[in-house]
Amino acid sequence: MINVVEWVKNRIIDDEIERYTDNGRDFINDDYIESLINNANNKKPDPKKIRDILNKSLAIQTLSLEDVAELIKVSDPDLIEEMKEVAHKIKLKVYDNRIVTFAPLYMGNLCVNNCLYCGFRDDNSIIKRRVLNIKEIEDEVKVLAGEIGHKRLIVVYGEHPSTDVNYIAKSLETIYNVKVKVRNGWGQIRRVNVNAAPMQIKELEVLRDIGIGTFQVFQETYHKKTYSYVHPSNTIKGNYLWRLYSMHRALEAGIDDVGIGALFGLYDWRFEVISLVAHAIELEKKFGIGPHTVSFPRLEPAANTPFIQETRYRVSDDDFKKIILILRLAIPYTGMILTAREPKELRNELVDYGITQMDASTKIGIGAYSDRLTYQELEKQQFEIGDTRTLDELIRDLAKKGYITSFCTAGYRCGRTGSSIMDLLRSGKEGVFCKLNAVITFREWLLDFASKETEEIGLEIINKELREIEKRMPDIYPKVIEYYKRIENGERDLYF
Amino acid sequence: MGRGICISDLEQYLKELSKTYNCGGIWICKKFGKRLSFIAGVRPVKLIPPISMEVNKDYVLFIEDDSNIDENERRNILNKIHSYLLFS
Ligand code: SF4
Repeated sequence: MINVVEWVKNRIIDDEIERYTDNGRDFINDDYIESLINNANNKKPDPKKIRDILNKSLAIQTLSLEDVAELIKVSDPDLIEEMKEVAHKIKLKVYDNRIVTFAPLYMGNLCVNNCLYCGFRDDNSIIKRRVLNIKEIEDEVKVLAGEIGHKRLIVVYGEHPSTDVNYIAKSLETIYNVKVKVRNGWGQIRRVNVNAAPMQIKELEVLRDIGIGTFQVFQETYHKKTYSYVHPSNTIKGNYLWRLYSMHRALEAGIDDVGIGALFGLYDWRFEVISLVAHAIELEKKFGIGPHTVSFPRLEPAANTPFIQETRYRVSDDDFKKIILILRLAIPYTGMILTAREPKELRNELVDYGITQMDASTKIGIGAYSDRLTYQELEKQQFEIGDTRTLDELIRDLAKKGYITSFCTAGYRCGRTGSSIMDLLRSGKEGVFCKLNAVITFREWLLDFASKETEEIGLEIINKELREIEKRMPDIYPKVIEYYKRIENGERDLYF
Repeated sequence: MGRGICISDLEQYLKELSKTYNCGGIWICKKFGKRLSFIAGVRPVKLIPPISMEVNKDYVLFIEDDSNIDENERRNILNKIHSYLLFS
């Protein structure tokens, strides 16, 4: 029987914080960021300066905090329009016109922390608690990989001894081992990303050895005073720095794809945006590797969680659009995840702002995929989701807008990771792989899972892409066609 | 021998191979389950699907274009890379 109190006591290793600080100082300078924001309140932006900043973004350079503060000032509709155009161009240059899809899989809702904004907090007695066992994980994956057709998951764990590193490792192995016969081939999850509590270096090495995709930890809020308020000090999560240096530990452990994020609505969005960029700059400086992805969830209603109604920092749709736009411009090489927390209409619009990853057929209740729930049960979920489209519906809607859905998981299976992928992203070479792999993997998905309507519009997109490849990359085109035919003849999991 | 010295020697060796055999990208990855993390080498140049071959149970060599490398040379290359990695 695990002693939870003992477990909690031994989680934080001070040396695994202190070794990363600069003379005891961390990389979020609250006073300086506040001063940038105050300055942004006072002065109008200079269009010439804004255009110089946009040129830096177009050259796939990370913006400085001062540049980001300048962008925050912009309210002129024409300049915003220019920012949108540049954001879209950056997305095409770095990732082409593809969207990668994934599904979240919640493994348990036991948590030792008490975050004021979260439905899963320890003292929320109305939540039905549960952790999936191995058989239940297999059942979930059979639906995700065998019926819906996902190839990529983000698995989510609460901070609790019942979902500790050994459980995470076992669950990852379980997921990777599920293989399901489908219409014309077989379904399997090919990349598992993990969203979990901050870990120790030796635990991260265990996850690295299993073959984790991206390791994500969101800081929630970078603003220290707010952080202390929403995360009680007698909990593990109350330690700001332990969380802040999660990605440093992951990179030191050899996990070279890391994802950062903030929960928008806890504090002033401008502070969080500048801090996310500061986090990216810090990782680039210390490890030569920036964040593989950035996430920007907004607070959503959760069961028995009045804090959400009370906060004065809730982010409007207009500000949310600006957040995404500025992050796209500020960290141009990074993947940007827009989840189904947001409603369908807004997601349809925001995809043009440079989003690279979206989830679909999303269920966030524990065991909800194999339970086949068609409604949301708030007392089993962390929050309420806004876009309930199936993967087939999302793909069709994306295709109508000219986007190709990609199921590519090639990068981390042939070394396009860490500093290597940074160079490829910055030079636009990764965008070529994105295009080729999108065509191959999308064809595979259409054959195995698509409805008739989606297959028709999907094939139109593929034909357009093939014509473009033939024109722009005549040397590679024959190889693409060879792979394409092999997929049509029943081979699976081919990639560039 | 320090790790840094060996990896940079390996990097240099792979650069030479890329030039000699006109193979474009040629790089070494370390295996972590399904994950293959870049260790050293010339990143993709020709942007064609790379050929992969095991150096040993922990490392994989990727070559974009191996058409100018015969069987004998391939064996020698793998052996040499293996010995670099032994000391890293
Ligand atoms: S936000 Fe995460 S750490 Fe906090 S209570 Fe919820 S599940 Fe636990």
